[in-house]
Amino acid sequence: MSLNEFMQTLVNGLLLGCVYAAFALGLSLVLGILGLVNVAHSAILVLAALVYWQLVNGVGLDPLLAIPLVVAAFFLAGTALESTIVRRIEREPNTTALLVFFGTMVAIESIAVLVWTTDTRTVQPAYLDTVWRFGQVNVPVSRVVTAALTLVLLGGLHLFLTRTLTGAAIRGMAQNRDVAAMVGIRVRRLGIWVFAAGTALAAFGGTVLALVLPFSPQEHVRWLAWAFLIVIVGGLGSTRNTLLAGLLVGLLEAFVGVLLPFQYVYFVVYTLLVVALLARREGLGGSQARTI
Amino acid sequence: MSAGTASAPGAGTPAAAEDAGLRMEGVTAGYLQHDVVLDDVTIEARSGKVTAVLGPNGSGKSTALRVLYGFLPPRVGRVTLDGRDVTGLAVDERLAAGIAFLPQGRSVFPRLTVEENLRLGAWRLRRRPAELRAAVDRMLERYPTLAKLREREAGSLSGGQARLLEFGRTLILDPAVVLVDEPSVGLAPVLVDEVYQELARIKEEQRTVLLVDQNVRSAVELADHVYTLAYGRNHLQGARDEFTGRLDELIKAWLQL
Repeated sequence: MSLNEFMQTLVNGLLLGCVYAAFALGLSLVLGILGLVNVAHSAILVLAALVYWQLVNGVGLDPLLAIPLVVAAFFLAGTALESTIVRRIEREPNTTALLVFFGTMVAIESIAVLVWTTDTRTVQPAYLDTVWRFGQVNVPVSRVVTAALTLVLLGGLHLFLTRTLTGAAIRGMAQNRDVAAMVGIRVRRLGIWVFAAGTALAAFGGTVLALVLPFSPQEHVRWLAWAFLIVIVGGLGSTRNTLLAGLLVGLLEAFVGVLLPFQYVYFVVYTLLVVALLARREGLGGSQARTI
Repeated sequence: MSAGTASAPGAGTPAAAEDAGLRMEGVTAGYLQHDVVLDDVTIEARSGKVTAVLGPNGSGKSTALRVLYGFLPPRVGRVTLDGRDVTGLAVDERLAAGIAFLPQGRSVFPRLTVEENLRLGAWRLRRRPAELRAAVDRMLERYPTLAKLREREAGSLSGGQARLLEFGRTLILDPAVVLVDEPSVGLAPVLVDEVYQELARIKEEQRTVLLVDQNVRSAVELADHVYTLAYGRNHLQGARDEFTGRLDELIKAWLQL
């Protein structure tokens, strides 16, 4: 591997890692704070990608302007989903919640297919569709922009959760819901905000997906697996660890893709998943091991 | 000591004095649709006094505290604070009215720092940062041990330190009424003494205290007035002195219930 090749792979891996971190962020928040295994996460992600595609390719909106629009719309949709479906299953056993989210996933996917068909789509991100060159290293602008947005979002979320009183309340709610209610925090209302924020972050992941990769309504489960992988490797609910795990997976995928034949990528990445599961021993429902 | 339903505690005292304090009147409550954990229970925590509620396991003591704090709405009956009906107030509104609750068992947020735990205790002041900071500082002054540990995660504190933090969190809004649920359960005897010293200080500060504890002897020693519950009903009530000599008798009676 030449130095140029190494640098190119490194850059590709880091940028891809940010993409993956963006995919996992909402899942991590909802699982870490509310203890809900939201398997509809990737369906929400792809639905947001489709809406974003519609706005950019169809309506012709500016690709950067369309991102906050989609995120805001999905925040509202998240509050609706919380108050209609999620609030009914909050106190139910995990398996019930899993089934309900699975149903939600199927429903969202079906709606997406009905409206947008099963075609694979790519967004034409106008001025973002260029490549910067540093010597021999190519850096696609769309990936740099999405990576930068992801980092800003992650940093903002981290500061919000660790430096503000509301952030402490959210983390406190994850640690002891009864005591949170006892100090006067309206945990139901805060739960709605957190779920809505998780949905909005999933939508942000969707816009990132749309900007950097082709996508179709029925191929989202792959991103679900990736998001879970990152959440498990990074541990639940910690924004910094989500980023680090995303970067690890991105770098691994980039370097394995260069050094080994293509089919080894999944093998290596899923081996990482197995190792993480064995090492952490917290599983998906590991509420007692939530790190936040 | 009077037996029976205690429907008119303090009969004969002036109306104003009768109103002062936290009171539940004829409360019937339960968790599931048809169970009755409390059956027509009346308890009054007189202003500035310590009132102990005693009774065997399952007699409804902790449930009474939950009703008083607004965690469990009563099916029948009402809760009043200084004569004002507060039955329907949510927890944050009760905090605003000056009622605080120290729950049973470990109740810190384990992965938050000591300071964050205190700040959350003052959640009601979240839009008044200066007052919030002052409240936290007051508690750190009151408990110098906590001041040294302010950056530590609460989950790493010793049992006694965590109990102090729980007291701090409960007192941070300077409540007039403090509900205390089983403060000494699961603690080493040394720590039980510390807990009761702290409760004595709260009493000295003229706060109204309603205390539920299995530790009957210490509770009665501290109390001004004592209620006992049995099977979710009022059983006995009276001034502390009427109970002090008869504790063994009382405990024996509970074992036979």
